[in-house]
Amino acid sequence: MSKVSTEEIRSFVLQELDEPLRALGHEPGELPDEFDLHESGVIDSFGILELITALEDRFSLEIDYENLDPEELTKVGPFARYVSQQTAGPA
Amino acid sequence: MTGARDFRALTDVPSPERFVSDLQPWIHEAGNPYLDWLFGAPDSARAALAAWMVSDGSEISLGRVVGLFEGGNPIGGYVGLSGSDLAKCVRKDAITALKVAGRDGRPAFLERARELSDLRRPVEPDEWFLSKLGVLVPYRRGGRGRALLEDFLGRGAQAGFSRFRLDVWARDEHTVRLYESAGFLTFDETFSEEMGMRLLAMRLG
Repeated sequence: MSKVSTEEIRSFVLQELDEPLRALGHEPGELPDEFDLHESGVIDSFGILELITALEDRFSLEIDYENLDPEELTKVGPFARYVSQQTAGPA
Repeated sequence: MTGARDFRALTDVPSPERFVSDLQPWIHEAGNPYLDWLFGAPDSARAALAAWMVSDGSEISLGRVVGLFEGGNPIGGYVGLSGSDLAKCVRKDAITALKVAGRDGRPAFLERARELSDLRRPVEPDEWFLSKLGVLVPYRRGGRGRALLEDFLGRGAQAGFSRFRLDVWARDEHTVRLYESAGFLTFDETFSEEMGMRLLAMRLG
């Protein structure tokens, strides 16, 4: 698993969700770090599965989400940082 | 089969992990046919249940189970949680399910998950939700279901909830009548074409 930056993860997520974000009136490039994709109605629980699958396929990742706070799972910034840190391997 | 009956929150029981195999059969049955259909086979569903039960962030984590014990053995129980907790659990459980499905099983799992994604009606954050309720087959009858439901309502009220939610398959007429007798009313229903069954969304308060 090679290192993927937070920015790459974030960009991928926003690109994947460009359509539903805009449909709800959100400008993908201007979302705050704590923007919650689930609470805002951008994705449902199935959407989370789709997003994670797409992300892992795109970057050839296998991420363990066990240590990620469920509330942060759908927040753009914390999610991107967590995934990126996981790709960095043990410190 | 009877014995001294008591309700115990698994959080109050030392080493609750030892009860996973005792609790899993009724939790599995209470979640079916949804679980077997979603995971494609009973064995896969059991693997997911086992993973969820030992995960603190799961909808059916052991810490949320109230067990009905008779003669010291857990013969049934229920899982209750708030709507706000449920929203968090759904996210975490989705990830665990994906892991259980495995890389090879993901496409089929995602397809089935997509088909079931609109089945459950939302639970409001301030509602106390009955996720699962069940009793092992040899112990059915004798008012245990009603006793479990009353304990669920009592603990919810004690925790400050005045609104209660649950989902039940319409074909489980006996269970539907039990819930109706406690005051639950059906406010919506969905239909699963895959399973050919109606799911009733019920509310009290």
